[in-house]
Amino acid sequence: MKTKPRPAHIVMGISILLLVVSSVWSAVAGLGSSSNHNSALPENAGTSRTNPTGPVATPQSITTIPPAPITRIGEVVPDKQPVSGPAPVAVEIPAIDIVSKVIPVGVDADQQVVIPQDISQVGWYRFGATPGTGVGSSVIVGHRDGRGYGIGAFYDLGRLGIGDPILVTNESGVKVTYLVTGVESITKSKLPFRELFRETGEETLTLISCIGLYEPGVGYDANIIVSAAPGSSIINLPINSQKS
Amino acid sequence: MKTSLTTTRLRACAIVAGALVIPAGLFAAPAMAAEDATVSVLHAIPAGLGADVVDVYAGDALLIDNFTPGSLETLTVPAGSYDLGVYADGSTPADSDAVLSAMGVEVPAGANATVTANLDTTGAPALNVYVNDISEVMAGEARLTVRHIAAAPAVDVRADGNVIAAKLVNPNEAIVDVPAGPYTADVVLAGTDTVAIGPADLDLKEGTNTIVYAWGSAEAGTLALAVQTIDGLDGMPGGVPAGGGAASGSGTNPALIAAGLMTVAAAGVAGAAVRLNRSRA
Repeated sequence: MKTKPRPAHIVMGISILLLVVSSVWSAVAGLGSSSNHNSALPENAGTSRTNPTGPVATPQSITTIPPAPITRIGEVVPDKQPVSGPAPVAVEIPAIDIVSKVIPVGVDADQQVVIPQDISQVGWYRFGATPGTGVGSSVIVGHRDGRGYGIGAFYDLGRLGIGDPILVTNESGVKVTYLVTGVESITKSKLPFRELFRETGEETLTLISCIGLYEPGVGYDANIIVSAAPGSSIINLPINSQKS
Repeated sequence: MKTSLTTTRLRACAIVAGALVIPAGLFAAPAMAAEDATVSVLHAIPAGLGADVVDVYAGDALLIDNFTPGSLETLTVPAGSYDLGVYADGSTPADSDAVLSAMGVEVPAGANATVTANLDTTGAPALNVYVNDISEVMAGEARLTVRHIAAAPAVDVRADGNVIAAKLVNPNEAIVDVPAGPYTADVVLAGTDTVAIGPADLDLKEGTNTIVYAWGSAEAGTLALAVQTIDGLDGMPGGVPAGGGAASGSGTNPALIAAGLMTVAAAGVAGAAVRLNRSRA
């Protein structure tokens, strides 16, 4: 096809043009090239050896136009995939003989975490971290007791000891094991919400119930907080049971 | 409830010329260096108007290369004052004039801003700078920001059929905090039920500011929505009331009883503080 030789013609044409331009520059020796001229020049201008000391001395490639190196600014923030995973549906705490259904909960109009009405059930704070996703503090709340209902699912949290396993089953059927790392009572007005409900950082399971002094119409004055880290329950078997 | 759309804020955005100062956010993104700011750029000039591929510069430095209509890019940049310019693809500040520019945009550390290249109400290209609200939202809630950057008349923005922004005109924005969850949003001509854009499904996640842009041209039939999401704005719950008292007396921690009466009083104060927060403007 007749169009095929064109690029070569163009290069040749440009080279001729270059010679002309170079001649012009020679005529105005001492004057720098304007940036407009520069950017219009093809890059293999350096092949024009008729004027090696001319202003178009920098060898460039025929396809690149920018006359000067371009600096970049800013670091692209990648699109974050929100951390999510299957919701927890059950929690087992063998040390206190608990097997409890887990339902997702949020907050009420007063910004209090909703505790399941059925005090045999516990609630997973669905606006926070999710167990098994490797990040953040997943919070499960449960009643200590309920007036007219009796003993709640988390009545005995205070009896847990360091290393006791807690097993959380999610809706995909996967069981995530945590080992208790801490049990403490904290006055309600001093709860470290940002730590308990954090969605970033180390994966932690946080169980919360009530404890302390009960005042009718107000409630308990403290929360009991059980912290647990991901782990294997095997290492937690009591030594004497391994021996027997 | 989804109908309790309480605090709608309407405000004009600050635009382009002069020394625009973007206030630093109260809650900067945690992963960001202290001296950095976050700047997003949205290309909202419809295709076919001579800006199909552009480069965005901050001063002499290239911010975004080969930017196309409908694209959004977010960058962290050192805090400072920037001359922002949009250039035809391949052109640079050294050899060309900017197609659009905003001079002396002050971006303090911790600030979060979005620059939009869009059409003004008459259909002419414009560059707008918006400050994004990255203050905390209450636990369980999400923030919805709506920005009118289209060559179109005044509109109402509706979520699940409720008007959340009335008579919004280019280049203004409306901000409302709503319970987190899925919504169906649409844009109608102000005061009518004539749908101009949508409906679109919006999943407003807790602790985020979801920014919806109405862009394009009504006349050319190119109206569309663009969505930007800023996360990490989660508010904390106010308490965990996990006991009803049936077992009171048994299992009570004696060490806590002494402090009990005082902390009950303190809890009352904390409750009042929570309610004050809820009624913020």
